[in-house]
Amino acid sequence: MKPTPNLIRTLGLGWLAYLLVGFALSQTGGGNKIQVVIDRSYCAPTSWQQVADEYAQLYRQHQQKQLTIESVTLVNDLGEEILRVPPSAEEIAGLNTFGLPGRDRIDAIVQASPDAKVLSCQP
Amino acid sequence: MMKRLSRLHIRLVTGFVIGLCLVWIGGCLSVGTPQVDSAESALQALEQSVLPQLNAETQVVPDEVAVRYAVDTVEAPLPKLEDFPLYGAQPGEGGVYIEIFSSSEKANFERQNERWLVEVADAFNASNATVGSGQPIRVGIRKIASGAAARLLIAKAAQPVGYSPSNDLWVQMIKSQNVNAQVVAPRLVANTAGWVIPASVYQQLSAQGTVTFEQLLNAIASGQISVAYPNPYASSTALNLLYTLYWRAAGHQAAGGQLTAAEIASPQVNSVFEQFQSQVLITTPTTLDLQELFLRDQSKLQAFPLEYQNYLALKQLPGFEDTEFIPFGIPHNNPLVGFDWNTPEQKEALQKFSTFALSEPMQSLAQQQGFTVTDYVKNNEGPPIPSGEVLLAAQSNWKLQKDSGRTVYMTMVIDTSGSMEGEPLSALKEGLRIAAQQINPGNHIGLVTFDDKPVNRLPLGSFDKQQHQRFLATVEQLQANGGTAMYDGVMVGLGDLLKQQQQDPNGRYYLLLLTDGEVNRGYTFDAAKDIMAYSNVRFYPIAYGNVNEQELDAIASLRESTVQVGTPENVQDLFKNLFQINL
Repeated sequence: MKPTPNLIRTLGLGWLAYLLVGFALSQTGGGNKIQVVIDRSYCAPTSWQQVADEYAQLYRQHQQKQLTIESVTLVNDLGEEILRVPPSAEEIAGLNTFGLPGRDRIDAIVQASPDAKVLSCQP
Repeated sequence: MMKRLSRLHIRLVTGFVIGLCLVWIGGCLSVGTPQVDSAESALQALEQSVLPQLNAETQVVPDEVAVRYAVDTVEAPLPKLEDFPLYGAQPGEGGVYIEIFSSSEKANFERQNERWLVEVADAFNASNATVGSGQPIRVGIRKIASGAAARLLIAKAAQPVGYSPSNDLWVQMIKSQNVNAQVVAPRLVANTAGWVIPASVYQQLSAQGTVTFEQLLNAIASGQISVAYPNPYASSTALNLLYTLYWRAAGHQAAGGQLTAAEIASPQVNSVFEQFQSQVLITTPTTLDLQELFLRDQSKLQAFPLEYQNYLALKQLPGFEDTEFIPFGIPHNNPLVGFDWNTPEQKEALQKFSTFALSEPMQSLAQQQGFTVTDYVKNNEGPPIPSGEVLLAAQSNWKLQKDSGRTVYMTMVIDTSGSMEGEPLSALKEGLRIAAQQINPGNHIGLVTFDDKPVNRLPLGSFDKQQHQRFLATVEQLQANGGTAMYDGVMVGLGDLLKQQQQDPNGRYYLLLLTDGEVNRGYTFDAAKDIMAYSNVRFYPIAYGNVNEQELDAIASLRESTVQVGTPENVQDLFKNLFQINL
């Protein structure tokens, strides 16, 4: 039986719709997208564990596609380091902290991205 | 035919057996070592093949002898003034004679672009200037490093009429030690301290804007860039760097406040220093060593500090054309100070000399020799000048914290061959004795000597009072005799270090090698080089005489190091410097 133009049109539109929905899903994928800001100013090791645990929780959710960590920015008063690929929880747990808090920098990031999640051991 | 065949067989078999024997004999006679291609195989080769073959002895001074040695009475002698050249007028020429101690970069008569102050003194002396009483003024310039001059002034071992260090930090240091210095000219010539970095690194950092000291410091502390710098006890630039690092880490850049000694010790500031230090490849005795290391491999060393005047000359050399300069710290103003021991006529003479040095023709001469007022200086971008107490605290903290908690293990492998007899050995012994004061407790030292054979004199041990006493006793008993089995000595020294590496892989491992001649016994460089290359030990060769320079250079190049040239006159300073920055 020869496929009719109608059949071809219907199938084609159906596939196109399927592809578009799939593409849209891949972009929205893991639910919320967040920017994580980590205050890497000097932190006593026991206090840093708290920050590491908080990040570990976020990272787990990122891995389970419950959310998407778009970037991780490490900040102190000397500067910022933007990591486009979210580091693992172990990498953050083992991060060396140094210097004074970069409060102005953190404030500027939060102002630009109000949904940014700030992790800090500072009061 | 059967007979012919069997004769042929016999010949073939005989030839085969003879060949096998020759191969076996050749293998037995070979002085080489098994294949080495890792730290583990280096240790294995040492323990299983090399050390058992060596005729090494152990001669350790008994503790009951060592305990008699006092460790707290060894004082480092001051530098001798006569070791520093005096240019211009000499004492005894009549008139009002003034001697000025000057830092090297403007009083190095041997180098065309580093002798500005000497040329100014010559011009001034030729002008026949006089004081009010009519007596002629005669000016002598003594070339002496700022730090060495400061030591002499603080010890009151010298009383020049004037002192012109590279920067004001030294003036503050001597003032804090009760040397009453009065400023005659706040700036004779302008210079700037800064980081030299490859253009490619600059471009990476400049993606975020103009590259500043702060940006570079963050990149270093974040593990992106490796650096090296000279001894902050001796180098004006390194002292400036250390101060600026602490000042910035304490967060004073916003308000321009003063750094305090308490802040230096705080965890927030110290954490920056620790991170910075973790990226330091090496601390060198001199800036010249840094330049050599930078040229050797820019993938390993990406930044080192230098004065701008030197940088301008360096940029003309192959390998340095593609670099950038990032200024930091206080300006190197080359101030001129006088002292309260000066007579009124000397004060007047010094003032007149200062006015002459600041005149337009002399300043124009300075510019030709690379002393320029950079934008950084014009914009007054640097930190304030600290007190001498803060600088001393900065140096002390550096000495204590420089190894970031890692233990340093150093074995000294010392030539005691017959040619070391007399002054060479006695100067070396005195140098080791004095330099031992520089060793941080908790670091480990050992000592091996070599002549016809290697001798283990002091096993690697933690530097406490007992090890210090053992070290002094061991050094005291060294005698010269015999040949030069240098690599045998190196192998024994390495054996101790590699064994220790198994227990503390995080430690820093160094082997100081001093020799005054060429190897004429035992292992050769070719036989030993693979073990040395894979040992993860840094070698500090000291050429103390007629040595094979090529071999020592090759040894130094195995890891980031350079050969130091030692003589009986400078070996004391050499050891002191090496121990101060490494132990």
